[in-house]
Amino acid sequence: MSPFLVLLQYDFGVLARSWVVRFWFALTVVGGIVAVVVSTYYFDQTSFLMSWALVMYAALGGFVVLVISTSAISVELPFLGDAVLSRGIAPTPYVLAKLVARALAVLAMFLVVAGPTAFLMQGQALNNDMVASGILVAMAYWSFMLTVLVFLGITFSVLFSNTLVGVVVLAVMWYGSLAALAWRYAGSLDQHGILGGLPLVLQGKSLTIEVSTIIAMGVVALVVLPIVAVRVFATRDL
Amino acid sequence: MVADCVGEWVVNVVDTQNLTKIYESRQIALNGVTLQVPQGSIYGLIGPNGAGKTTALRLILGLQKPTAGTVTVFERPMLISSGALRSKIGFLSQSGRYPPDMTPITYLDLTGRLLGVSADTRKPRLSALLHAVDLLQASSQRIEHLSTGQRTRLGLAASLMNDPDLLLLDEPTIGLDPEGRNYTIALLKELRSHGKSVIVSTHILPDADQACDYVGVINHGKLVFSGSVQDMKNLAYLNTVELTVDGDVAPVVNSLSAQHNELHFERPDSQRLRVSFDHKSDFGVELGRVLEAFSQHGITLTAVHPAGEMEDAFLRRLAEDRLRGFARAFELKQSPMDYPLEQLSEPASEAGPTEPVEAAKTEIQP
Repeated sequence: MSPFLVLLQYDFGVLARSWVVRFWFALTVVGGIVAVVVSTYYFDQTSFLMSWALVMYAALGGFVVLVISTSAISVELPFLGDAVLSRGIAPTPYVLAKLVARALAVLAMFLVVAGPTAFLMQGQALNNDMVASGILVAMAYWSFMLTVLVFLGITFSVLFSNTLVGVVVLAVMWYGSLAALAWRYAGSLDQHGILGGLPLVLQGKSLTIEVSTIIAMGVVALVVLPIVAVRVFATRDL
Repeated sequence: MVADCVGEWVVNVVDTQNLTKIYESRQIALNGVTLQVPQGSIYGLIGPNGAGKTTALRLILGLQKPTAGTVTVFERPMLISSGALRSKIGFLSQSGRYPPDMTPITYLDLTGRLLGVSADTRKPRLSALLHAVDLLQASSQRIEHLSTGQRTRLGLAASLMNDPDLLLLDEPTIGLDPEGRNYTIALLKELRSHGKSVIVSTHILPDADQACDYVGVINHGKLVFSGSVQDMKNLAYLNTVELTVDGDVAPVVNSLSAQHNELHFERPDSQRLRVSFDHKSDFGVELGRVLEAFSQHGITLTAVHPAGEMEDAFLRRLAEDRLRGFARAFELKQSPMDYPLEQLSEPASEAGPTEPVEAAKTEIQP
C-alpha cells in the first residue's frame, strides 16, 4: 500500500475517533429526522424547508467543517516530524492525504444525511415542490462549497501552527464571505433574501449561470490551494 | 566512497558539508558542521544540552531545511521531499512525542505500513520488538499514558520496524534505568555487528565511550572534534596509564619523581595511580622502570588501564573551544584546535572518517 493510502486510512481513523465529528454527525441525523417530520405535518413547501436546512448546514456545519480542517495538520505538528514524516514520508502525500481524507469525510457526513432527508421529504411531505434533479444540483452546490472550505481549512492549518488562530482567521473570512455573498446576491437579509434562489434550484429551475462566477472561483481555489499548502508545508521545519 | 589512510575504500553513509542552521535569523543552532559517518560504525554526537546535536540529526533526516550546506545519505542528497530515502533510516526522537491516542501496537503497525513493511513481516516483527523493548504489558495502553522511559523504548522499537541500514538515535538512553541503558548499548553493538550504521546523540559520556567507534563533539553548534574514541581520549592523557595497586606507593612515587623528570604521577584515590610519560620518552622503557620499582618495593599491581577518560577529553575540548573565542571567526584555514594533539606536529592528511573535520568556512547567511 502506498504511503498516501496508509495516511488516508490513518486520517479516517483519526476522524472516526474524534468526538467533534461524532457529535456533529449525530446532531445532523437528528436535524434530518426533524426536517422530515416537519415536512410531513406542515404545509410549507419542501423547497423552502430544505433551503433553510441547507442554509443552517452552511452556517453551523460550516463552523464544524472549519474546525475539522483547520486543525488537521496543526494539531499534529508536535509529533508530525518525529512520528510520521520520519517514517519515510514526504510532505506531498501527507498534505494530499489530509485534503482528500477530510474532504471525503465532510462530504460523506453531509451527503449521508442531507441526501436521504431531501428525498424522504420529497416523498412524504404534505406540499412537495422539489424535483430529484433539483435536489442533486443543490447537493452538488453544497458539496462544492464544503470542499472549498475544507481545502481552505487545510491550507490555514499549514499556515498557522496555532489551531485557534487559524480557526478564528478562517471563520472571520468564511462568515464575512457568506455575508458579502448574501448582500450581493440577496439584496436583503429577510428569509427570502437569505435563501436567495435556492428554493428555485430545488424546484429544478437551475441557476447555474447566476453562480458561475462563484463556481469558477471555487475551481481555481481547489486547484491552487493544494499547491500552496504543499509548498508552504515543505518549507517548514519539523 | 573515499579512500581512508591505508588506501581501503570506505563508504560513508552520511556526509555533511558545512551544515548550518539558523532559526528565524536569531539562533545559530549549527554552524558549518562537516562530518562523515562510515558504513557499519557507531558515531556518537556528544555535547552539552542545547549544543545542536538534535538539530544535526533532524537535518540529516531531512526534517529541517539547512540554512547552508548539504547532507548526503547513502550517497544521495537528503531533502525534506526525500521520503523514499528516509524510509531506509530508523529514527528515535528525544522528544518522545507520538500520536497520544494511539497504543504502542497501533503506532508500530502504522509505522510499519508507512515504511512499506509487508503485513507478513510487520506483524511478527511488531510483536518481537514489543517483547524486546519490554512493552508487552503496556502494548494496549494509550501512548499518552506511557512513562518517559516507555516512550523512549517505543521509539526505539519504531526505529527498528523497517530493519534500517542507518539509525539516528537522539538520546536513546535518556529516561532509562541502568538495565535499559545496558540493553540499549548492547543493542547498538549488535546492530553494528550486522553491518548497520548508527548515529547516536548523547550527553552521557560513558554511554558514548562504551558504544561508539567515532565521536563528534558539538559545542554551541560547532563541531569542535571528530575522530575515533581513542583519539578523543588521547586528547586528555597522552602516554598515560592508570595502575591499580595494592600497597603504599608513596615512597616509590617520591623516589621515581625525584630521579626521572619525564615521569608524572597522580593519585585519584588510594588504590589508583595515574602515570604520565613525557612525549619524547620511550613509553615502554619508562613503564618497565615503574613496574620494576613497584616489584622491588613489594607493591602488588592488580590492573593496568589506559588512563584517557572520555569525560576528561570532552571537558578539555570544550575548554579549548571556549579559549579560542574570537579567533575562530577569522580563521581562513583549519585551526590547530581541530586536530587531536598528537597530530599537531604532522601536516594534515586527507579527511577520512577518523580524521578531524575540516573547520567551518561557511559564511553565515541571514
